[in-house]
Amino acid sequence: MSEAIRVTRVTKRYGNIVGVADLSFAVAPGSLLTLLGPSGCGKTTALRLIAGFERLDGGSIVVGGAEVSGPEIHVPPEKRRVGMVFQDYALFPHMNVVANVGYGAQGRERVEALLDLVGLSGLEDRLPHELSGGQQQRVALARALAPQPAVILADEPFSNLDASLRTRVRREVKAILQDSNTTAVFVTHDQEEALSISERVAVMNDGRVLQVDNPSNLYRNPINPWVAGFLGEADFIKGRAAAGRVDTPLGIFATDLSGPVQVMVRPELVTLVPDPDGDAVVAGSEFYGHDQLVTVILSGGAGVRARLGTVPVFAPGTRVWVKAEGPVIYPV
Amino acid sequence: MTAVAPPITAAPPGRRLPRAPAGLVAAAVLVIGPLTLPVIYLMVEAVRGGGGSTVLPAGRLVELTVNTLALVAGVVVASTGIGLGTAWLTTRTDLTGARVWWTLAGLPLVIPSFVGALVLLGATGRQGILSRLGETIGLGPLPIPRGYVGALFALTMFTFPYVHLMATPALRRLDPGLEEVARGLGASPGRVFRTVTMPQIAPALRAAMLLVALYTLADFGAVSLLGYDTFTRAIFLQYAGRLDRTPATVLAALLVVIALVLIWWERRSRGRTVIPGGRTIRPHHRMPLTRRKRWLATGFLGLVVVASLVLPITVLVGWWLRGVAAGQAPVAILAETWRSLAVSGATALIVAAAALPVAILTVRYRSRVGAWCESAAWSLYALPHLTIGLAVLLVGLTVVTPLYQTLSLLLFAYLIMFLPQALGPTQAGLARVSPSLEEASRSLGKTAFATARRITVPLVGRGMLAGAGLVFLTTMKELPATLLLRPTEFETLAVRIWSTTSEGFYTRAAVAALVLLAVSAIPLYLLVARNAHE
Amino acid sequence: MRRYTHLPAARGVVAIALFTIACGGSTASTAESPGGDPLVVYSGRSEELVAPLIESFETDTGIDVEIRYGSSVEMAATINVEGSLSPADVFYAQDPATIGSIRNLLAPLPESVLSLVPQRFRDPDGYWTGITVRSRVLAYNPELVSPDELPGSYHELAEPAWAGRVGIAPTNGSFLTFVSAIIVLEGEEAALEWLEGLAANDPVEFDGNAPIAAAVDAGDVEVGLINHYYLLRLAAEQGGTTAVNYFFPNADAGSFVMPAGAAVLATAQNPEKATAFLEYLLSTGSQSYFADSVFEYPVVAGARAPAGAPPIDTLVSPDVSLTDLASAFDRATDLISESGLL
Repeated sequence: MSEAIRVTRVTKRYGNIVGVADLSFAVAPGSLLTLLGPSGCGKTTALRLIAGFERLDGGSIVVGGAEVSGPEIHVPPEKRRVGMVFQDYALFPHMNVVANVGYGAQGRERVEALLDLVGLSGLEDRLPHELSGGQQQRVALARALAPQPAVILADEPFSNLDASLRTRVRREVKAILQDSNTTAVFVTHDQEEALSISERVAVMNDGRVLQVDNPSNLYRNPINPWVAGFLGEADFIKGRAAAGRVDTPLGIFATDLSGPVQVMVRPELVTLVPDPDGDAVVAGSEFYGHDQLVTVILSGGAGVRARLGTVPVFAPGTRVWVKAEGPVIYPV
Repeated sequence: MTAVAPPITAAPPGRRLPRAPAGLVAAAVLVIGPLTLPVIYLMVEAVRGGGGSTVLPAGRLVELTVNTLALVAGVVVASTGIGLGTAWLTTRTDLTGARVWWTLAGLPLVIPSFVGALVLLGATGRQGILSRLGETIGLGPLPIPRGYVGALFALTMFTFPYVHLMATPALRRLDPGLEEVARGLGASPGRVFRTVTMPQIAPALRAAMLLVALYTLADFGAVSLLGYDTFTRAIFLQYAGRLDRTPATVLAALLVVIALVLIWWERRSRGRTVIPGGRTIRPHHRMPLTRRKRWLATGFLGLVVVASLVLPITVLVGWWLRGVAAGQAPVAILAETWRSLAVSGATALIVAAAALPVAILTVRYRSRVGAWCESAAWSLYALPHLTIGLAVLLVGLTVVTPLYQTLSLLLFAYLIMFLPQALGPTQAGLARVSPSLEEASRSLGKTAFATARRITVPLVGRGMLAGAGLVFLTTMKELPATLLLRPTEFETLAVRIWSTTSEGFYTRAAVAALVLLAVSAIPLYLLVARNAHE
Repeated sequence: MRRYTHLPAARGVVAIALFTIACGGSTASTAESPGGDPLVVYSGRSEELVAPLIESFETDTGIDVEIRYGSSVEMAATINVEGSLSPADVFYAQDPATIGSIRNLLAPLPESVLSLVPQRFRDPDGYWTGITVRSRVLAYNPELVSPDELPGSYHELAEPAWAGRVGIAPTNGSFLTFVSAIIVLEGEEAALEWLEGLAANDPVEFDGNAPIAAAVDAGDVEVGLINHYYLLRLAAEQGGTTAVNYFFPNADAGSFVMPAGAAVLATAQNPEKATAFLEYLLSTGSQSYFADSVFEYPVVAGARAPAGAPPIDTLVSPDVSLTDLASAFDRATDLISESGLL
């Protein structure tokens, strides 16, 4: 099977409001795809459509080689073999850990094995309210994995955790998924989360997928300015392209476009060289402990930021030369 | 606790409720549908027979309407004033013994209005206990407060607990931050109360006031005993005093219309009230009282408790002892007690089960039929019990004749009258259960039915139990429908109190009343005490 | 695990519920009697009065009785509305007009019953029979009303002088018979006029006669229109009364001497048992009970008279045909409604 999930041109409407429109993407077996986008972009709707909690209005969804949603067919959630981890974990409050994890699966051994997998052996008799947030999350994951589903879906699984826990838990969950070779689709608005653990990321807005790619490509070559800004810090300089190049205060860059363009640069790829003859002026800087963000006004008046190490300190008014690497150029 | 209209919940944010499965809709319709039939039949019969001139002269109808509305208005104002006062003093001030006062103020719920009226009759008049006491101080005997004053007192004293209990959670949920901001901006405590506090508790107050209004509208026992001519009293007099049942039917239909108008008007002015789901993060600030205010507050609370609890129990016990001293044989009411318990328990159970499909349908799914079922149920709840009793009697005599004078017919009437009492808490309990729990169960392979059984019902269990407890209490106190529909020789405690009172045997009535109070007090205390922790 | 912690309680309630429904699935039944179905009696007379008789009847004859209590009118209306569905075998009313008004639903009584009762106190065509006799009186409290203040006739009670001082029971069968008698003797217009006058006179309304008697005795009401035996019973219960019976001097509706009637329903399931019951009520033992404990006049010749009540032949009473009385009943209820008393 080449794809664990294939979503083809799926549309879902709520009255006059579009939930998702013409949505298409695929997920390879054993890999993690994250749907990334701001609130209301339709990512949760897409997830619920795959799970079977919503009926689609058009298109089709195929899971594990079998069509589960389509114009003629809607397989109910309990028949889909799709496990789901909810944002609020949805652990059954009247059952202990063993009962929760074993709810969809048979046999104590399987439960024990899963608890071991998620590192919660020894907490079998606890009730959900007696567990920490991170522990609850792992129980939810174990429970979803227990019936050996074809796919695991997770809706903002880390957003309820303390920021300090998040990174560690993310890594652990990713490891568990890889160890069990589980296909997964996550949903989040946190681009750091999406980029750090996914094989592929689908950026969504207004019910549509704007770009699907692995994190590195996505980050380096965002398909449009909005995606660029959503994935990370980005500054835009206007310029005019002609004869295969555009001339900007940051340098001359090759491009196939012609006419007015915007050049996107990321602050972490901008370098500053102090020089009394420099054509840019430091306007200010913000100190972040591990780095600093220096704002610079270029000749021509445009502003750009540079994320640099904490040494040297750039006082406002210092003249600098500005260089940028890896820009992406868009038409205006 | 005692809502009188469905709690409307907002759908989980960003999600529209799914369409309802046909099986669930059918179950809900099967529950609610038959409940509406008797009243519809009543209205049809009333229209058919209503042309006759034998009903009542128009002037009398106007008089009845004015009397009824005047009583409703008076009781609503008085009980709201008292109930809000007791709730405020016991939840928002640092009065000593606030918890005890709070519980005491909720207990009078256990006393049915007709027992309250009975107590009034026994406390006043030349032989009344209060008169005797007054004589020792040198005051003259108290006149029996028949008519408006008596009915107002009897009803207010035993309905203000509704306001007290329903205002309490709203007062507890007040955000102290808002009041602090207002004070910081220079507003006096009075202004803070009017402009910041009142609007926040207004929805709860409005629901309580509607409940009190409907209760007063429906009251039959108290106004009969005290001789105040309201619609319900007139209906019963027509029923009991004439061979032709048509006048009673027509008047009942008119009363149904008045009640429906009242609730539709309230619904329209309500807008969408969302169940507050959040929890207060900070414990609310209790206002400190000056010494003088402390005395005033204690005095007020003391007066209320004396009038609504101490006085009734004293009068009843006094009557009982007087009878014992006069050598009367001990009253045998074991059979009636057992019957009351059994029939109330049965009703509570049936109602709780019947309410569940309707609750699930209206909270978890989007269904127009579900919304109608809910409206129908709440409208029926608002109707006076006498009219429901009459309607079911009509149906029993003409349509389902094998059920005439059977317990099943009586239980059917109880179901009509009390379903929403269980529906409300069940809906509220269900709304507190996140739908993602049910979705999780389905994603783990369980069908919708299995999910309801293993997840929904156990979690809603406490809400259902609260609803069942409430129904149990109300059924114990029910009088007019039971009078009309009971099988021969099937007397409940309430009926026994009523029949012995009509014959003037106050001692026997007192014993039955004391037993009724005792038996009702335990579930009431549990319900009230449970709400204290909410 | 915290699962289903309320299950035991629920089981208990289920058990009670099922038991109740099983018991009540059919009309509440008592123990099996040798003769099969119990006798069903609808009584318009109070339980306090009738229950001892029922008990002794059951003991003496072994026939089980199921009895339903309510006001006379309510019971008559119930029988009327139940029609052929009615489970009642016997209707025992408080007064002649109520029972007469449903003559069409009654079965003619056998001679064995009718022969025991003087014609004056039974239905001319034999559809019902009187069981006991009572006189209308005006009970008054001598501490509040002196004997010379007492009205010469009931008409005066509708005058302003008596405002707020009169107790009545407008749904009571005897009161309805009283009003029916006014209609028969004086016509509907006069009746309505009097009723309206009374209604405008702020009367104190009660649900039955016994509360009126108690209230007059206690002094909460000055006078009350009731039947003669209530004060006598009250006196027996509490060892004497302050209130006194006043018999109206004129032979009009206010002094009406009337029977409390009983009958067998045409649709009775147990006509023989029903007849036996009526015969029992007319037996010497029962009639003595009525005289000694209830203080009503017995109807059977030669029976003991009630102590403390004037001999029946000294009582003034208007001559009213019981048939006319029954026909006026419906109008009586209408007029009471129209006047605003109901």
